[in-house]
Amino acid sequence: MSEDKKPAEAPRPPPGPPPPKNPGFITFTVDGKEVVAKPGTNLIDAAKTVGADIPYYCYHPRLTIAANCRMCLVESSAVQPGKLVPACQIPPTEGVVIKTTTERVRTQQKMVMEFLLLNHPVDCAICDQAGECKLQDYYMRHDFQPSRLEGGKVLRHKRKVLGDTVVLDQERCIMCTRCVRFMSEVAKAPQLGVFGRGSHEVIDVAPEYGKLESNYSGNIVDLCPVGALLNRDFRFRARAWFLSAAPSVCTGCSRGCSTVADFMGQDVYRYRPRENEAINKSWLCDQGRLSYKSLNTHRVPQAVLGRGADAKEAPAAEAIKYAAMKLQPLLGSVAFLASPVASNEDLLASFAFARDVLKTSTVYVGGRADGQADFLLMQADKNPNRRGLEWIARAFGLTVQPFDALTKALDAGLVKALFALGHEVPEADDAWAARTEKLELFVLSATNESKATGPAHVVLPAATHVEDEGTFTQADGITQRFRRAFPPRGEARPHWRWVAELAKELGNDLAVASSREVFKKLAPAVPELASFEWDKQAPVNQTRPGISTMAAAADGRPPGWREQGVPNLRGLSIP
Amino acid sequence: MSVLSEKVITRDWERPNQNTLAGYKANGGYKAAMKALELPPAAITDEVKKSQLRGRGGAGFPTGLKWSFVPSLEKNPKPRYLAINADESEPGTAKDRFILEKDPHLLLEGIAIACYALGAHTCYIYSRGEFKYPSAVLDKAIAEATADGIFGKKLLGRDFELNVYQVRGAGAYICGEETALLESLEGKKGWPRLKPPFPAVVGLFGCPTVVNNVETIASLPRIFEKGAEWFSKLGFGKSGGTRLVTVSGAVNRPGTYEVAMDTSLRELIYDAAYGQGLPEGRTVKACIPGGSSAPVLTGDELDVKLEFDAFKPLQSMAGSGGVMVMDDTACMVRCLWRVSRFYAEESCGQCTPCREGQPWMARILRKIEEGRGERGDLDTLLGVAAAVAPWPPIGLGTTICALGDAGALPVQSFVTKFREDFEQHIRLRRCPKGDKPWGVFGDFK
Ligand SMILES: Cc1cc2nc3c(=O)[nH]c(=O)nc-3n(C[C@H](O)[C@H](O)[C@H](O)COP(=O)(O)O)c2cc1C
Ligand code: SF4
Ligand code: SF4
Ligand code: SF4
Ligand code: FES
Repeated sequence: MSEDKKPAEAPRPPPGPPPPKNPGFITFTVDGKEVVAKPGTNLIDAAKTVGADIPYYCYHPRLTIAANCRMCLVESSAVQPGKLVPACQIPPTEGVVIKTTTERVRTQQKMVMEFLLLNHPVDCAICDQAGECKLQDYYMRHDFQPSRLEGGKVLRHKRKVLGDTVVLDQERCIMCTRCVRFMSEVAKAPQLGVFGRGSHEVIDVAPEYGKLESNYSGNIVDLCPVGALLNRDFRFRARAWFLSAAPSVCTGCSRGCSTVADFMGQDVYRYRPRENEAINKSWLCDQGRLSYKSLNTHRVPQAVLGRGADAKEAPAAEAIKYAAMKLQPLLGSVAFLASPVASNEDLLASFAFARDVLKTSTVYVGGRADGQADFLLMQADKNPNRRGLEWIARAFGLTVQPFDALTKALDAGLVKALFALGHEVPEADDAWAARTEKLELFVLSATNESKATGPAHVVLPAATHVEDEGTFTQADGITQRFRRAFPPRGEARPHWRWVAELAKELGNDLAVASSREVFKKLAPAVPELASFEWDKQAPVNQTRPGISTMAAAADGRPPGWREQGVPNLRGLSIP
Repeated sequence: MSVLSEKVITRDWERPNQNTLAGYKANGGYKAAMKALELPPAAITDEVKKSQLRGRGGAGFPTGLKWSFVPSLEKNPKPRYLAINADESEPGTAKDRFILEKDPHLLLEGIAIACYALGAHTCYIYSRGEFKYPSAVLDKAIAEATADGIFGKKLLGRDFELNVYQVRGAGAYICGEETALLESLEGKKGWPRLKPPFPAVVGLFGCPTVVNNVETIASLPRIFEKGAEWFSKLGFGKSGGTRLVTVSGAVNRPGTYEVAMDTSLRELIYDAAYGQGLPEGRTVKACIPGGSSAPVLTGDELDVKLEFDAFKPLQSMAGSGGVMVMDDTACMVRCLWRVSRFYAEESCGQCTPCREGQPWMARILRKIEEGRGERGDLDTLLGVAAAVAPWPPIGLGTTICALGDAGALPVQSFVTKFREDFEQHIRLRRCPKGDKPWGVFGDFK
C-alpha cells in the first residue's frame, strides 16, 4: 500500500499547453539541442536525430511499449527535479527540456547495468550473441566495473528448446519481454509468457502450446537484445565478428523481404531481416530465413557436358563453345524456359538472347510451384521476381506462356530443343526429368544440382544472388537491389553472363561486362524499370527515422561491431 | 490531547449481528444510501469532495477528485467500473479485514453510493487470497443484499442496475497496486501497468475505473448520514474524518483502533485507549508509521499527527496506517532485513531495478546481520536503494510501480537514521542483540 511516491494516483488537470513553436510539430530540447518532431514521435528516436544516444533494451519501434528495462531513463523538465522518466514511454511535449547525460542519469544507467548483470551468467565465451550483444555494448559504455554481488546467481534452465527454430538460455534473459510481445502482437501466436515472479521468473512457452510453433519464431532471436534466445540453425556455427554482411533480398517468395546475408569466405551463415518499411518491416519468416542454405549446398561447381554416362565436367570456355556448337543448327526452333527466380539482369540479358539469338517469340515460365500464403509476409508465389519477368518480357515483345503450355508442347513432340534458366520447375523433378529426357538438345543454366539437371546436355553453373549484383522486383512491384557478398563458387557465373557469352559465340555480341551494364543497357526499354536508379539504391532505407537499416536486423539498430552503421562489406560493391 | 469525539467506521462493530443484513438494517442500515441516491450523481461527488475524504489505501489521494477524473459519458461511452481494493497485504496493516468481518454491509452501502455517483453498474471487490473468513462473511453479505433486492436490477428500488462481485486474489502483495489489481481482475498476471493512462481513464477491460480502498468506501455511508460538513470537521487540516490504524510491535496493547486525524503517534503508542505504552523501562527506538514501506521514524519523531499531510516534513508517510513499534531491545538490522526480504519476495519482476535490486538489498542485509558485513556494504546498500528510489524526498522512484519505492525507502531511512547500529554489526562481526534480535518479548502486560 502506502505510496505517495508517484506524484498522484490520477492525472492532474493539464495546465494549458504552451503554443507550439512550430505549428504541427512539437519543439523541445535534448541536451541543449533543439528538436522538432512530429507529435507522437518516440523520444528515443527523436533524440537520435540530434545525436543523443539514449540506451535501451525493451523499446522496439514496432512493438508496444513495456518500459520495463529502465535503461532509457532521462531527466525531464516536466517532472519534479531528481525524478527520471523513461524516454521510451513518456512522449516529448512542447518546450520540454530533456537531459540525457547528467550525472544522475549516468549513475542510474550504471546501476541498471549492474542490476541486469547481477544474475547474468556472463558466459560470453560460449555465447552466440557475443559481439552483437547489447549487454556487452552497454557494459563497456555505461558500467565498466566489476559486479559487487557476492555469492551465487539465480540458476535457471541453460538450454531450453522452445521449438524447431529457437533455443532459450533462461539465465541470460534480461526480461525485456520483447519476445513475448512479438509473439502476441506481430506473430499473432501468443505462445510465450513470463512465468514466476521476481528475480526467479523465466520466459517459457505457455503450457497449452507445449512448443513454439510459428513461421515467425526466428524473429525473436533477432529481437532478443542478449544471447537468451538463439537460433538453432546458427547456434555455435560462427562468431559474429568473423562474419561480414551484405545487404540482400530473400528469394523464398515473391514478398522479397530485405535481408542481410551474413557470410564468411564463400559461405552464407544466416539471413537476418533488414529494415524495410514498405516490405517486411523488421521481420523475416522462418522459411525464408533458412532459404540461404541452398546458396551453400548442392551447387553446380562446373559446367557439365553430355548426359548420362557421357557426362563430363568441362572448363567454362569449352562449355560455351560446345553449347554454341549444339545450338547453332537449331536456332529458330529452340524453346526458351525462363525462371522467375532469376534477377532482372539475368532476365534482361536472356530475353534479349531469346529474342535476338534464339529467334523465339514466346518464353515459357518455370520457377517454383505455388505454396502457402499467410497473414503477415509469406506469399503463395514462391518466386522472387515474377513481376520483373513479366515486365521485361512485355517490353521485349515476348509472349509469356505458362509452364503447362511447355509440358504440353513437349509431350506432343513440338519442342525438340530447350534452353532453360534455373533448375526449378513447378512440377516434380522426376516428371520433369522424364519429359526432358526426350529432348534433342537441353541447355540448362542452373545454380544447384537436382534431378532436373541430369537430362541436360549442357549444364552451365550459375551464380546465386549473393554472388553478383542485381535487382529483383517483388509482388507489389518494388524493385530492390541486392549486393554481391563474395565471388561465385567454382566456375559459376551469373545467368546473364552465360547468355551473353553464348550470344557472342553465336555472333550477336550483347557487349556487357557486368550486371550494372546489363541493366544500364537493356532496362531503359522496360518502362517500369527505366526510372529505377540502379546506382542509387544504397542499402539504407531512410523512410523511417530512428531505424538504421544496417541494424542487427529487427533489433532496430546496429549491433556492437557495426555500431557505425556501415556494413563490413567485402567484394566489389562497397556502397 | 485529542479525543475521538465520534466513531465513524468502528461505531457499530460491537453490536450483535452487525455483519448480517438484518442486524445492519436494524441499526438504520442502507438509510444513508437511500438519502444519497436522492441526489444527482454529480452532487454526490461534490459532497464527497466537500467531506475531504482521502484515500485510505496508502496515497491519501482525495477521493472526490479521483472520481471526477472519470470522463463524462459523452466523452467516453464505455461502461464504468468500481473496483474495491481489499487486498490489504502491507505488513503491519490489518484494518480492512475487520471492516469485512464485522461490518461488511457498511462497505456494501458505500459501494451503492459510489457506483451511483460514478454511473458504474458493476463493482468488483478484490480481496486478499489469505482472507478466508473475511471473504466468507463478505460473500454472505453480498448474497443477502442481492436477495433483498438492494443490488441487482434495481439498486435500492431505483432504476439503476448494480451487481457486486467478490474476486479473490491468489496471495500476491503486488495485486494490491491498483493497476496490477485490474490486470489480476482481468485474469492476467498481476503486473502493474504503465501510467499514464490512469485507471480513471483506461482501467478494467479498457474502461474508466475507480479503484478505492475498503476503508475509503466504508466511510461514505456516514458522510451521507451526517453530512459532508460534519465529516470534514471531524478531521484535521485537509484530511476529513477519522482513520483506522493498526498498532503492532513493542506496545502493551497492540490492535486496530479508530483515531482522530490529529492524534499523534506518541498518543497512539502511550494512550490508555490505544497502545498503552511499552513495557517497564523500555523506550521507543524506531517506529514505522504507515505500513512497512513508510520510512522509519526515530523515537524522537513521535509527535507527529496521524493526518495525511503531517508526515511530509519528516519525509515519511501516513500510508496504510500500519504502525510498527520497535523498542530498544530490537535489532534494527534484523528488522530491516525482514522488511527487505518481504519486498524481494513480492517484487513482481517486471522492471529491472526492483526485480534485481530488492533481493540484492536483502542479501546485503542478511550478510551484515549474520556478521559477515564489510565496510563498503553500507554504501553499496544505499547506492542500490537509491537506484531503485532515491530518498528523500518521497516520489523519485525509477520503477514502474511504487513497490520499488516501498522496498527502497525503508532501507535508506533505517540506514541513515540508525547507521551506528549497522556499523556496530560490521565492527563486532555479529549481531549485538545475540540470539534475541527481534527484542525481548516475555514481559509484556
Ligand atoms: C505495491 C503496492 C501495494 C498496494 N497495496 C494496497 C492494498 O493492499 N490495499 C489498498 O487499499 N491499496 C493498496 N495500494 C494502493 C493502491 O495502489 C491504490 O492507491 C489504492 O487502492 C487507492 O485507493 P484509495 O484512493 O481509496 O486509497 C498499494 C499500492 C502499491 C504501490
Ligand atoms: S548475452 Fe551478452 S553478456 Fe550475456 S553471455 Fe551472451 S554475449 Fe555475454
Ligand atoms: S528472452 Fe530475450 S527477448 Fe525475451 S525477454 Fe529475455 S532478453 Fe528479452
Ligand atoms: S516496481 Fe517492482 S513490483 Fe512494481 S512493476 Fe517494477 S518490478 Fe514489479
Ligand atoms: S527502453 Fe525504456 S524502459 Fe526499456
